[in-house]
Amino acid sequence: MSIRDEVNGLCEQGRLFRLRPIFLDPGLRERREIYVSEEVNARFSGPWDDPSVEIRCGRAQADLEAFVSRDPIVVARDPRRAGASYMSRLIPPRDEVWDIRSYDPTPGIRVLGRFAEKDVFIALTWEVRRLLNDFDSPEWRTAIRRCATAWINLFHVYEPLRGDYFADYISDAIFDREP
Amino acid sequence: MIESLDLDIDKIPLARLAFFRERLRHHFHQLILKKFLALQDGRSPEFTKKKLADRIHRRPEVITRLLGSAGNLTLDTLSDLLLGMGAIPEAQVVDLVSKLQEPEFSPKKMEHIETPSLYSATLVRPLTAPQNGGAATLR
Repeated sequence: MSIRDEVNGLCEQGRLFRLRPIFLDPGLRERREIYVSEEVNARFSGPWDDPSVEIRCGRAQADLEAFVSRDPIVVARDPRRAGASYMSRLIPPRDEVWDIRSYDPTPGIRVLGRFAEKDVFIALTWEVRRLLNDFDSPEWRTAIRRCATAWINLFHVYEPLRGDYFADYISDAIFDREP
Repeated sequence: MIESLDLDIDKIPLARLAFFRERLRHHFHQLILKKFLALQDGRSPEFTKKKLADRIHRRPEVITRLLGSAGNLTLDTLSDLLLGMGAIPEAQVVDLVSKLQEPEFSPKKMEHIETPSLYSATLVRPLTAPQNGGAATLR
């Protein structure tokens, strides 16, 4: 059994949800796949506490959906200096935890997850950026561990994708740096 | 959720409105980023973020942020950035119903996607010196 079978099985069980564009803009195609956990899916499907939360979650859903078809995606070389990159691999790299960033409106949201295969991202946990404080804070470490635990709870023995190059994870990514 | 876009529905849910606003930002951001990369890869390889920043009276770090993600992209910024690159946007209106393909949370199974890798050798290890053999880098 492959991790691909595992993903499909989790979708059938309602524990993972494949997020797909309801339509594609001209010239775009589905070049990647993104799956969201029950935790993330709940943010997108509601109900929400108040209208501002509903709006926040709607925007974040569009940010995650962008992973499927955007060409290219801007990836931060260093998550500590990520600027406004779309996503980055968090530190330490051995954890293989990545985040997708939804900046606006405040509060910023970070959706943490791991790659199951190249171009296949599993979005697992939802974090409010300001609650994580500075990088290397206990809150960040807790968030990274929570994501890793969510992975283990879903995939058990299957390891996330590991790589040294952006191209090991994502097709058509560019990486950002300060001017 | 697609049903929430039907013309018979009195109120489109706020989450839907927000989703499509952000989606539009991503669409425009994509146009900006592609134009910038096309300039660098084509007739103006020396066209840097700093040059673009100078042309539209912005700081380079602002250009870095604007090229990085859709963020809170406004029509003014869209116009400025494209004009800074010698371009303007064009828009058209299409009926959404004709564009819909499938539910966003699809039961469709995971499939293998074959994608050409344009940027094949960018080191991701963040605590080592950057190596950028042939990779596309925003500069």
